[in-house]
Amino acid sequence: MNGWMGTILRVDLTSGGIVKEPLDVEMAAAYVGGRGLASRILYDELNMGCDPLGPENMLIFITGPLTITGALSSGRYMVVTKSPLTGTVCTSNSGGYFPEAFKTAGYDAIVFTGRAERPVYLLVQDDHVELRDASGLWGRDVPATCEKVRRETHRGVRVACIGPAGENLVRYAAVMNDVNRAAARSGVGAVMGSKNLKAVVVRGTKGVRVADPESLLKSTIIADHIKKADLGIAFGEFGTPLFVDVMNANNIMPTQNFRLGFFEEGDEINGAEIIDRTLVRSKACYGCALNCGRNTRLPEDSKYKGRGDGPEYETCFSLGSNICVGDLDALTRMNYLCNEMGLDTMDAGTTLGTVMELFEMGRLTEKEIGFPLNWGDADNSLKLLSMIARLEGFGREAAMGGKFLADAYDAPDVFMGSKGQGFAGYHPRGMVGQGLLYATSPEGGNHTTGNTIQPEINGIPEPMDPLSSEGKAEMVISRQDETAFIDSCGVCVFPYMLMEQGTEIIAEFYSAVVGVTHTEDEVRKIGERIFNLERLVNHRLGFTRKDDTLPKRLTQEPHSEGIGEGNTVPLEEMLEKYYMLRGWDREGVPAEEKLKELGLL
Amino acid sequence: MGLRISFNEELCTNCHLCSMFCSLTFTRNGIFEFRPSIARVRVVENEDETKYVAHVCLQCETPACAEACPEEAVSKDPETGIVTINEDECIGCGMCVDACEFGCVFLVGDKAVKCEVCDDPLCVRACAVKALELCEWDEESVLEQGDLYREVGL
Amino acid sequence: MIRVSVRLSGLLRNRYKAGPSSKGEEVQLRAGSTVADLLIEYGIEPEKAHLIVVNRLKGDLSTTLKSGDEVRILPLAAGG
Repeated sequence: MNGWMGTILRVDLTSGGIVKEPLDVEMAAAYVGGRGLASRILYDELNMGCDPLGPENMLIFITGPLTITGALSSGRYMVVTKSPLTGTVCTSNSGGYFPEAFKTAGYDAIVFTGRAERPVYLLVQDDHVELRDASGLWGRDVPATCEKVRRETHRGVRVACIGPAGENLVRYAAVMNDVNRAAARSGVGAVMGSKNLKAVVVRGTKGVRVADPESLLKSTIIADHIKKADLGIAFGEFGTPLFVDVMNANNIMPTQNFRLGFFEEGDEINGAEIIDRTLVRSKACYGCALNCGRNTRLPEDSKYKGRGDGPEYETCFSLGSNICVGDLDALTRMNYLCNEMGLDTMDAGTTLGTVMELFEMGRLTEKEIGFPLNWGDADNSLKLLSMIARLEGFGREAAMGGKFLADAYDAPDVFMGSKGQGFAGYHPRGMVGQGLLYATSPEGGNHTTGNTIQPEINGIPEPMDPLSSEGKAEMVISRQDETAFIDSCGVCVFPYMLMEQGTEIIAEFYSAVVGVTHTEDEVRKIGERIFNLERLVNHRLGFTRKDDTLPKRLTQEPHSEGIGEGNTVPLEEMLEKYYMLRGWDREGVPAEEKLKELGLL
Repeated sequence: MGLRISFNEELCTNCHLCSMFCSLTFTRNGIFEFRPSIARVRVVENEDETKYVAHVCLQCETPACAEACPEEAVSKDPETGIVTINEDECIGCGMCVDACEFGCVFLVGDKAVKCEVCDDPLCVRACAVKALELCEWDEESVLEQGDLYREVGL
Repeated sequence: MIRVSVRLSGLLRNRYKAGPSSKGEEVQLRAGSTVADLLIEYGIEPEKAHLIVVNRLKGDLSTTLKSGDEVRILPLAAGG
């Protein structure tokens, strides 16, 4: 079989039963893999009403047919489940090195159900699969877990695991892999923790078949072009933190819980500062020519200690500008802490921002938190993050997330997220299409399902006014559909997003790997099918138009000083057009006609 | 005159594209596969992750692998300097793997394999940062690379 | 003469060595200089200046500068 490995692993953690099942080829052709295929499995098999942290929830680890095939950046995997943070279906995406081991061990997906009686980890070495006792690992942080597992099994294993945050069911706990990479969002780590599953440990020696290797060799030439272009050079040199400058200059770097779009101390936490102060070297994920990863270390003279990866741009926003921390060392330490504990840095930042605003308003007091938490207080932020991971004191409440806190302390408008998940680092008042994206993303404030930065800010393929609703519905739909396909292929969106002909190129790679030709339009159609499927699942979970929202701060409060000053997000207007173009009714439910057209009925 | 694949550690990003594309070269029986476990170039990092090192045969002047082979299956071409393993004669005993102090010989199934410098090396093509290059053998750079391999073993 | 503070970003920073760090530097120009004149001063091709921001607002090559202005110049980059 080309592309896919042809086998799905079913692990029932309650009984300890492990079954290998052949991949449904027709389903794979229709839903590709990754997000698409996993969402279909959930649609068919999940008891929608189940408690996301209960044994009935399904936790799916999954790659795609293009993973480890020489397509550009072909090294990603996803964790798909019903989210304990949002209650929606969710896909969390990660790179690193684990996806290669997972794929070459011979499985397209691992589907976990049930709950183990005691902590366990899954060990997969090609055909050999077993559940092992993890009582010696439970309680350990991520680096310690990985080290111990390696010693217990084999030096060459790759490890995906949870830290204390996942074990403690923190609602925004991550599944970490290769120590510093993260399937971070939507609380997938909490689902893993709720199943008493500490780690998935893999080693693979099999091969991934491809139909047309000659065409795949083209990826080396494309990679060369990207790397020679200014964009590619900058990306490799500065990594994602490059975008701090872009966002700040455009007045769209969310600051102080989205009150502002410009962070005065942005230059202290940007890509250049990282090079000057903490960068050891750049690094790449398995199979990727873009070395955007940051291997970093806190310098000797720093107040803080540690080494690891990052921070990435999103963290420069969430634990930097969002909470007014303009000190790279402190930001880096918070980043490392989140990685060590297995926490999503993004919702960690949203939660801290919520606490800071509630504290400023007087809704939360020093007595309740245990200490003051003012804007920019990095040390108390570090303290609170630690408490959150370990459910200590106020950390227990904060572990439920920003929306929970805002509601509990009578200031629901203070939560900067959608469907319960915090926004990413793009201020919608300065780029309104991104606002539409956030409101309609399957798992809430997520940006990776169709980031609008290229069209809205960089004017690629053609210039757009970031402040107006003009053309935004069409653009967001297009981005969402393309991205759904790219994600489902098991590759990283970055290079495809950076190139104007990204969709054309992924279609070519798909054809070269699988041996079935798909045009660019067919690819978009499949992406549309996948996106509509996710919408359908969410509809079954009770989500409609009432949940496609943005907070008043974005739709009613005028944007702050700088580019786009005075602007607000015209969400309702864009939403109307969006639903219409998508073929959904006015409640945002896919119409029967559309579902039939996409083969979803 | 001699050929080898040289490796510049400073440029390496730990992407493993070299292993991926090397493996493509060696898939068999009309099947095309990316199978990093059979690659003749393998990448590791050191303990504190300050170095990423791609181990690829140095084509030693006096190859320890050749000396260790009980079947005399390993030989060095006098013209190209390339050290090759005769697949038919190899019995897969692994003595060459142990003998190589640079970690550049591997057992794949029941045969020993190593880099034998392809005419158009895919590892060189695939490396996005030009850390791997097809070059002429010279003692100084080989010794340097050897030191690196001893320092960061597989 | 006027003095403006300039921050170059991304690759522009490296190529044109904007001051000791990314925090920017002070530049002296003739009175009545525009952004275009500033770019000439740095030797930056106008096409490379994808985004020009003067005092937090979008500017362009023809924007006239005065003393105390803060100028940011960015090359093209994507987000993630």
